[in-house]
Amino acid sequence: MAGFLSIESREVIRVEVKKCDGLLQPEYKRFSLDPQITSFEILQKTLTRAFGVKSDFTISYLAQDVSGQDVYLSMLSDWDMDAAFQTASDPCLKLKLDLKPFEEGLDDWDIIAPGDVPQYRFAHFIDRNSFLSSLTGTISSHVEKTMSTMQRTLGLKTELEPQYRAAKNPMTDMEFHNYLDSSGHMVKPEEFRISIYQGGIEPALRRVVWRHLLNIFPDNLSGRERFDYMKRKEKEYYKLRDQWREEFSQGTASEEIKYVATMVKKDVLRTDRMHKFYSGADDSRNLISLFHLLVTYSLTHPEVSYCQGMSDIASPLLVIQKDEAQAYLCFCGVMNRLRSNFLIDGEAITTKFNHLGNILQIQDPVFFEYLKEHGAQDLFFCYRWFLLELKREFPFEDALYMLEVMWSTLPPDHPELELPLMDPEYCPSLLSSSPASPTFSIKQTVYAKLLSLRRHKSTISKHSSSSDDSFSHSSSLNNNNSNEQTCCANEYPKMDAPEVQELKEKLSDIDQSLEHSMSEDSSANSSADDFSSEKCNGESDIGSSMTEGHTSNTDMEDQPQFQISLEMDQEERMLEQTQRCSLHNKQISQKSVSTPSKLAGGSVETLSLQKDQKSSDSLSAANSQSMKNSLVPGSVQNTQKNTDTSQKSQDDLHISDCVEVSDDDSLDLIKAKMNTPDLPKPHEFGCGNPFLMFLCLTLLLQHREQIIHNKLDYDEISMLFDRMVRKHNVHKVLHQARLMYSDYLRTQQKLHEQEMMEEFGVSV
Amino acid sequence: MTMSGDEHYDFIWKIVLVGDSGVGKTNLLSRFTRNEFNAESKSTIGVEFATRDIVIKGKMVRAQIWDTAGQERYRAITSVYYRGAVGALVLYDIAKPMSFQNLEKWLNELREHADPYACIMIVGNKSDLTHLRTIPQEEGRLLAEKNNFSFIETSALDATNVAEAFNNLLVDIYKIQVTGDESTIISSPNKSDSRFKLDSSVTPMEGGSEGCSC
Repeated sequence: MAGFLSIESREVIRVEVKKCDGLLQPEYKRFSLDPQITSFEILQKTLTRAFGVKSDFTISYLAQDVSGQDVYLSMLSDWDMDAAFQTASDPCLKLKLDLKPFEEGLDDWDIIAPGDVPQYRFAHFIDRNSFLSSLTGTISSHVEKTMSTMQRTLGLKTELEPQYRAAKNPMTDMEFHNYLDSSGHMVKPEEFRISIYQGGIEPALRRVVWRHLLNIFPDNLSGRERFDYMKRKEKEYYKLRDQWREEFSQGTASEEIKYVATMVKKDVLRTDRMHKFYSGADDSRNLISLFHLLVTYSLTHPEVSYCQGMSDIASPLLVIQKDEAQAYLCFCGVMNRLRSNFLIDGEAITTKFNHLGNILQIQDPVFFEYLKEHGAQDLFFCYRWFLLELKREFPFEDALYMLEVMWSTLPPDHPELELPLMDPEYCPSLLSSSPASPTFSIKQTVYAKLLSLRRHKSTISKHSSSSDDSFSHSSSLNNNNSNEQTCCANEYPKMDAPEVQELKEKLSDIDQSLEHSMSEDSSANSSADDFSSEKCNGESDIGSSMTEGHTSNTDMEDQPQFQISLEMDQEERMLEQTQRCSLHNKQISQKSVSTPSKLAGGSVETLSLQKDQKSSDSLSAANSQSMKNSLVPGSVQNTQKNTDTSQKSQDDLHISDCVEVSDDDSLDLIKAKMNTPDLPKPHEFGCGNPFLMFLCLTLLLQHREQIIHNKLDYDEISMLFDRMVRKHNVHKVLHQARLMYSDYLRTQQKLHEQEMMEEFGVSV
Repeated sequence: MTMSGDEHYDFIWKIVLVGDSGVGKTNLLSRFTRNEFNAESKSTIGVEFATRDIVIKGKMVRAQIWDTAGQERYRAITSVYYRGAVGALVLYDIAKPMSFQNLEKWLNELREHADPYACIMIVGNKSDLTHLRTIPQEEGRLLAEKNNFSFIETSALDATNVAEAFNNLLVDIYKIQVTGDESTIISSPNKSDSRFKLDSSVTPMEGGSEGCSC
């Protein structure tokens, strides 16, 4: 199923290799290989021995660029090799082997996955004949391929950050298939996402899995249907693309096209060029693909058009999909959610600034106060974080991991029938430079709008006398935008929508059985002054209510985000609920989830949340000033590990979908106390991406000591984060963000339950 | 690391770099502050920063340079960053007529948001692209004169005039901010290329605050 869209169906690929060694006569060899069991490493070994090569070499393969020209593209990894198999192996894959030192401009890349660097040196030791004869069809080499993939993955993780391990290993192909039924329907979407949330995805599997995460498929397609769907949509893309390319080639392109194309080109030429995928000449195939993709999107989405930063969003999609049309589909999927970031009104970004400010103020009032004193509470230095969803803040490969983890926290948003590849207002005739071309004015209107917006802003800022007011300035802007919520949350059902009412009725009998456990819980919450000890009560209450298997129902109403995994053995019930919900609204079909303790595996050391709670409680007790509902950053010694995982009792709540494993006891773990009723609900928080808010919060908090200790001012803080581009530690950041996120969700759930209780007149 | 450990500067001045996307703002900045040029530098999102310390007439000045995003779409946000700027380099690309035409928009932007006493210098960048030049040097100079701004042509690629551009601007700022001498700006706009020699009054400090690792 996973292989539907790759070349796995081909059994044999014929290969013709040309060895070039300086001025010597080229040498040719031919052989066949089985794409299913050949890894890049094996290919290297094969070539080494076939030609008796004694030195390092580079491999490139002959492909055709968009204009039909033959070009040699370098092959440096399994990914490149798969791409070659897929696009350039018919009827015969032509390889070129160059004997020269392998050098690449990788200086700017902080991290290179060990597997990405070819291992040439030990290639001579393998027996030549036996190896070639066993090239196809042997199990051992299949195992080798898997092993090398595993080592690569593990190697990457352990070498980088031994002390922060994810709760589970990245999703493998085999695991992925567990979430599908025999004909390829996605049957366990929640578990699927939780698994990614916990450990990400194996690099080789990203291509397929990202398509699911990015909501390009309508719900409930079989593998075969997805395949057909992809083919159809790819054609649709090429049609859209050719519309404007034709105008170009005929010299009839409108000013608008030229303007967009110029802007896109400028950025494509400087997007991730240090990555091997985009290295090479300025007119290399992958760059042209990125260019086509962005121009097509910009022209077919006139409201968005092209905006700097979009190339950063598209770049990883193309690196992973390796195919222009498929990457375009993914890009449309991402942009459905992100387009508001790029709109001229700036509302979505403004909302995010406000939300991050709010949560920082709640979580770390001391730090917030510091920023305020330095006029930095507007947090404008986080702008890029929001716009690109942190893509530039981590090394490229790490950003892929961060992105997929973040995407996994978002509710599925399948297109109703099909993923639209263009906006409804798009009309191909606008591309042509007919005498009365109406689109030329777009640029002007946009600028006029911008000017008026800015005037609006500046009037406000003139009212605010000092820089200290800039935060309230943006808040007031925010308040003026009455439609702001709708822009972010319009896909979620309103509380009084008929379908929600219906659900509420269905829930009423469930509430009866919830009554017992909830009454204790809400009494705990009612006294905020002594929050810490009662928080623990609250936890166990949730735990017990969950074992009754009802609480998950309450999520359906207005908490489409993933709830933390509180449920132990209710899979059947939940599947049933999933189906029922999806009848009402696709958005609310996502509910509280399954048994991640299973996924986490018994061997993983888990942190008991209750113990965490206690340890951080004792700390915060010492710091009573910021006690009430704030996160207290500081050196919390995480000595309270629950090392005996077998000790699970029913009321011992293991929040295992956010289990973070740490080998380093001296880590500063910041324990979140998300008793934060002020925070927006998941579908509003961060414009529907609360996890992003916690990632950003984490970045801020992880530099808090440095900022306060060195007394950095506004500009220095800005410069500090500017210098941290691509340097943040993804494992450390995700670790902390997951902890805070799960606390947030728990509190939200509790609040929600309280609301439900009150609404149905249950005594609290 | 300490970012603000050696706080022995007398003045700290904020300078903004503006101009169309792709005219070379980021590279002009990196050439000046780190002596680096990267042909494949990323598009600037929001704003980026660097500082360099310079001695002018015996006073230690920290130039804090804000590199803003060029695309029109971001002006709404970047305008926030003009706040408190005492100087601006307004860039165009000598090979891109559009970037020259758009100077007017950028200047309006500055008039609206920057300090009224901010010193402004028009910079024609990419002077190394002689074979692609479409804007003659005189044209840039004329525009600057008309507006009473100073003018210089630079190449971040081969480092021509980069230090001069910043240093001249800083000296202008010095005159306004320290000696309160406005007449220099108003009456003698044509002072760009040679009036303030680096060697005589301006001594760049090595390193600036760059290079501290976090």
